Amino acid sequence: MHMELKHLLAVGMAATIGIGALSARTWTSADGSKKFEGELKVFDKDGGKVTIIKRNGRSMTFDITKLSEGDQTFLNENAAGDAAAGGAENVQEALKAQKVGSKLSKRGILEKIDGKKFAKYELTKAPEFYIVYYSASW
Amino acid sequence: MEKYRKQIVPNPKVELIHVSLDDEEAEATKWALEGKFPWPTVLAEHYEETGLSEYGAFAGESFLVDSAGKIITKDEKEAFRKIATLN
Repeated sequence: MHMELKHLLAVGMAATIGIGALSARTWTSADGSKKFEGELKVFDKDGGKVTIIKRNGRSMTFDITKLSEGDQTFLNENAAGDAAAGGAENVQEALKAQKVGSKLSKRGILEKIDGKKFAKYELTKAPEFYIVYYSASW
Repeated sequence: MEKYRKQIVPNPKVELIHVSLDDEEAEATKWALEGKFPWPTVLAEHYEETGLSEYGAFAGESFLVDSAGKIITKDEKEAFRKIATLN
């Protein structure tokens, strides 16, 4: 009962405070035998992997199927958007978890026209899809 | 360009990556300035590193791929139809 109350409080606070607090919650294992508190760091929806930072600061990455059905639903319905719309640090972490994003997020790979020339550029979102457009002046 | 501003920029689930197939940066820059390209670009010197060369694309082509690199479609209209469902 105590854990359920904490869970409800965490969800309630997230709904009140907003995206930043949405990722901190009590997580439950798939069989319901283990619960732990932690903050969502990265959710790779395509790869089915999640990275959570526990209260002691230790980071854990594991398959989403290790979590309860409720946690999986939470991730699929909320966390993907959270990661995509989160801060710059979260964006970079989410990109690193992708096959495409990990290469594009390397420093110096992307550029963007700034004034009259190209300047270094970093992605500001970690999208699920990319339109890759190839062009040349010739 | 309008599709990019209206359907890609505000959508957190999709990004457009422009790959310049010009060998010389000066040519790529001139081309981008003429076209007023607003999107992130990979210049030729980094093309191989990105893995985006694996698709064997030619200038003028555009692919919709997922974050794992799987091609969803090579048809631009279909790509934007898919994007429209992501909001």
